[in-house]
Amino acid sequence: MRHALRIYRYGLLVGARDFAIFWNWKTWCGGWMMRILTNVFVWVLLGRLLGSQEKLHYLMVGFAATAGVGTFAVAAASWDRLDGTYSLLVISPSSIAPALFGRMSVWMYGWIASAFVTFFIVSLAFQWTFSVLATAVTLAIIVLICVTTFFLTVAVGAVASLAPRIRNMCSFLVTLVIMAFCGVSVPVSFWPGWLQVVCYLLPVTHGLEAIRLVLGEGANATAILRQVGLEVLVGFGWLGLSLLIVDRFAEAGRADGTIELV
Amino acid sequence: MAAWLVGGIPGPRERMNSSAALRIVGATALTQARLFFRNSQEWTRVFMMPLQALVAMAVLVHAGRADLAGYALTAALLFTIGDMGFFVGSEVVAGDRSQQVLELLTAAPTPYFVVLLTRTLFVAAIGLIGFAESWLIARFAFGVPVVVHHPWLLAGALLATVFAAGATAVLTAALFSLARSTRTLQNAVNGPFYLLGGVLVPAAFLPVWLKVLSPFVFFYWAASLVRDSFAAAEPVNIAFRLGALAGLGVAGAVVGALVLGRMLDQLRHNGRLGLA
Repeated sequence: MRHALRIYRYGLLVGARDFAIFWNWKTWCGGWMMRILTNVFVWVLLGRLLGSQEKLHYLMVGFAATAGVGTFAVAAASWDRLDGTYSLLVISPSSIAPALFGRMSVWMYGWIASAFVTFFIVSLAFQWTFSVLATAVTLAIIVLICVTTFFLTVAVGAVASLAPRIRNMCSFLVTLVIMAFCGVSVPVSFWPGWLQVVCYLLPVTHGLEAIRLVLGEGANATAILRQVGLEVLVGFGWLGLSLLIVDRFAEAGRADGTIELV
Repeated sequence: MAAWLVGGIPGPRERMNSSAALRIVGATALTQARLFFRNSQEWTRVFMMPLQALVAMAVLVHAGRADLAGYALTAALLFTIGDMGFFVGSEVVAGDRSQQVLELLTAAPTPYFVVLLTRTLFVAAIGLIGFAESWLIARFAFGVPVVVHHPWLLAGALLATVFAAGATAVLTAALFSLARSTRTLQNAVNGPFYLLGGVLVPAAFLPVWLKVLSPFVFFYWAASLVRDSFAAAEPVNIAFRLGALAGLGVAGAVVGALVLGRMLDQLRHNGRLGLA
């Protein structure tokens, strides 16, 4: 475990270099946050178009809590293959997982920051105020949503790294699926029954439900804890799956000689 | 005229007749088509972007406002054309530079501006796929058949939008090619343009201090024209609005040509034309 944490730390340092290639603090605040905030406002204004304060709040919570969540990480899973360092990681005595988790997870910290800033600004813009406790619990659940989504992106990223050309497509699909099906834009109950089952197995769905309970009228602690518990459970499920497949996929590349083919 | 627009070191240029110009435009478009469809990073985007119609349609249908489906289609279409312009079109110069072909292209007798505009227009036109895909999503995923009440207006609006997007991409391509990281800028510009342009929700719903900027964004005119083509009501001021959309395109192309000329001059002067 100690070794795994050390490798994770070095992976994170590599990830920090990746992050710095895209953003410095000025471009992150002025460029990235500009993109995220304007995108959130584009969707939230639908509530105003529909003339419904309830819809406006629904979209506001959904899009602000998931602002930027899911971006970049899936693509980052393939960067070792493109850099030529993947085969070195595979032949090293350790599992590839901590290195991969480290390099990818820098984006997760970026999601947390994006969602926090967006939540703050959108609440101010629409003059929606919450109690200190509700705000603190909401922010904690946002962190949980980011972590569970990160585990999903590791699993999807592992699949995408088999064919790195589709990495950006997979990354886009992850964010689209979250936006469409996980209760961000419409309640999960809107979708057909079979799709709802899939939605409940995805991250974000339960976490967002918990946030809506926290920010809604007459918050019920048991119901909130139940949704948080389910989100944690879903997160562990995706963590388990990702740990199961990252090394297998890497080994498959070594076995059939495709490890250096991109 | 074109030579003046792109600036640069004057050299012996053949006078192009119309058939030669058409041949060059055709060959350039064909080359761009080959480059585009060979690059899965680029052609997959054109099929991914319209999927956002799924989200917009879900919100509208859930709210019992399937009659506003035209808004979802307009947004999906403009998201796709915008993405093609800002992401794919804007990368053309940076791509030429990194593949070491910019020196050859600028040394050729054909002005680089003509080559670039042809390529960005082709890429923007590919974005029209977004319309077909989002229409199919509305029809088959939600059972909402979106009727085009004014097909000629739609055709005119799409044509003018493609022109404006392609022409604006000349400007962004020139600007982005000098940036340290093209992706950073690509990620930053589209959101504000979509918001100001009222791509999904009309600009009338924006705060007053923000919507005064909207008419300067070509998406504003494009979105209102495309939306009107889905509405049963008779559209008004069509000539003026189409003119404003095309006018913003021309302005983008002229400023783009000037910036491109300055940029190429600068790179030649510094001897960095071939350095990416």
